[in-house]
Amino acid sequence: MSYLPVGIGVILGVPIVARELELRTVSFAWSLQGVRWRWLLARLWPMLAITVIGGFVVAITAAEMRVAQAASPFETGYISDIARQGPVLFSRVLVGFGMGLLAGAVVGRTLPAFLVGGILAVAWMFVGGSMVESQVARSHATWVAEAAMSSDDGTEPYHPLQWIGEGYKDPTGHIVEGNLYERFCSLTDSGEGDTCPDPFPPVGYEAMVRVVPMSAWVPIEQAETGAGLLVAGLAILLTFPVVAGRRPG
Amino acid sequence: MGRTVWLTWKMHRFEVIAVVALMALFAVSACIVTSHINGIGLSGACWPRTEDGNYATPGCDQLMNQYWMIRGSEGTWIRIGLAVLAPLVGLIVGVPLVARELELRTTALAWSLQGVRWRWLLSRLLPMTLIALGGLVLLGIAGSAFFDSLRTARDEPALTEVASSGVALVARGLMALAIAVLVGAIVGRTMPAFIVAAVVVVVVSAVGVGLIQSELSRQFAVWIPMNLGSWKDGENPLAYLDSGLFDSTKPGVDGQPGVPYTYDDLSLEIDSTCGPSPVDDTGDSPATLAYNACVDPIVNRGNDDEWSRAVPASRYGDYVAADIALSLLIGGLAVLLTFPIVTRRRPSCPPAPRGSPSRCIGSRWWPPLSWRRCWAAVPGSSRRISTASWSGRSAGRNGKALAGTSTRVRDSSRPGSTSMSMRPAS
Repeated sequence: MSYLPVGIGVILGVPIVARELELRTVSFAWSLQGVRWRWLLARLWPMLAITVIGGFVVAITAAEMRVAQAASPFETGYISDIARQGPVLFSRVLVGFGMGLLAGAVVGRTLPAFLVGGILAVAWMFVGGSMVESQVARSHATWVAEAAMSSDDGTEPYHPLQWIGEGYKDPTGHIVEGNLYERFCSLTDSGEGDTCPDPFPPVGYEAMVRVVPMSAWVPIEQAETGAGLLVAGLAILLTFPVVAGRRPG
Repeated sequence: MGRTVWLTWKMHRFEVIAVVALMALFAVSACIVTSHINGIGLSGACWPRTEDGNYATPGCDQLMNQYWMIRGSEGTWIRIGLAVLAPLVGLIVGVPLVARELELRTTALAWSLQGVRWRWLLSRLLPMTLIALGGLVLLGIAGSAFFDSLRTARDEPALTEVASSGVALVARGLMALAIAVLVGAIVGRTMPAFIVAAVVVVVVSAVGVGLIQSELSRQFAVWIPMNLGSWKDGENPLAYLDSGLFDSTKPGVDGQPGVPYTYDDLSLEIDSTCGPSPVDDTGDSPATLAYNACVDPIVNRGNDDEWSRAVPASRYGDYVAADIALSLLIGGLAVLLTFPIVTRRRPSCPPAPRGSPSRCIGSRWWPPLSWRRCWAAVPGSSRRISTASWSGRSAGRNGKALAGTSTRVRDSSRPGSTSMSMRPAS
């Protein structure tokens, strides 16, 4: 569900310019049209409209599937779910379209442009989108007691979007990054098992975990969607000067 | 021949450079990860494992942790790449061979100059196949080395990875290339042919191979006791098909190891023999201890009677051989089918007929979409179209001969109304 809509965006975007360049019809078309950006706009807007409508439908469908899955008590939200539905998926479809369009204008051949555009779109998913996601996630991260993550006392366990790290709170109330076991326990000489002080954890110390709370879902979604739409818009806008300056044959 | 090879290179430079670079990069990556795994220093001394799941020595536990970390990170990418790259290479190399020339309308000139079309096809196909073959062999060797390194941790490849190394990988890549060439020759356009060929390859690889593997699993599966303890030596079956409880003291039927019974039967036996479970919050009361002493032998007998129908790991080679045979069969058929298609194919659209032709698809002109035709196809529509066609010639205006199709439209909502139009033959 994550890759196919992006691929469809690339498929829709690549042939707009690339096919005409490959078939060598642009020299005739551009000489008739006069102004190349008008020629490009005339070809671009119908495909862009189809991509927008299709991306919207896919995003809504994926979001509804997510809502249906969330009805199960075993299905909890994770940070990776943000990009698989809703506005982020919609923005990724447009990124695929923009990358395909730009790659088609630069490369000038359909299949190579499809491969290049696909690689660029996937690179955005894995690198660019992930960077934005992790930056916003870390800015919303908070420390939570590890005991709250389990339901031993019968209360509802705390479920975060993402676990980032672990630490512990010392008697002064400061939170130190690290592992309580590594801090206080030592391996036996035989290498089997370990010896820890009794009681463990020592009095005044509490195991903590650094997590991204569920409340960060919306800010992460907004940031990633905005970044995706910006990249898609830049790719589409960049295509105009590429087409304007390109030699037709 | 040399000129043809040079021309093929000039036309498909990008594809050749792209696939060679991709395969070389991936082969190097696979070798690096393989060296990481081999560098851990696992050996057979780490088995058998203990009852609680630890390896033979504490040092082995740490080595295996290192192994699982590598396998879970870079190893996963290598496995995905080995599964995907060979068919992708075949598609990238195979689709443009015929499709691009058809799309660019250069086949009319090329075929007229060549004379014999199968020679033209062979001259395009052979160099690209040899390039793809060289790269796939390199990839197959890298894949074999990678999976051999996994075997040092007694980690066998899954059935879905039969075509991820060795000869099977090469065969899968060549099959994808053959399918891509065939689809390209039929469709005649690069991008659509790439998509259709990709779908066909995925269907063959996932569905076709899956069906054959299911059939093989049914034939090769045997009943083995679950408490055999083979997991301690790292020997796990390839696939599990079924499981159940069998009383092996009595003869079974249809190859079963004994008379089957269920967990419900065990529960009934426990209830009838030991009575109801005592209510005890502590778990240490005499009644509870007596109950446990009664239940434990029955439960242990149930555990001993657990059998599973599984495919032994020794059968892996049979799956690989079947996969190779399927790939070569489908690939060979695809290549053989491509020759008559190329031989008989119209190189490009004929001159457009007079009238209003709309689209040239598959080297034929198709009439424009008409709402009347669409409406007439709807059951119960008020308009009925009857089409009468005549062949031959008749005198038309200015004595010019006419031939074509006449269409008479009768609107059944308005009796007596008829209109007629004529269109020249396409």
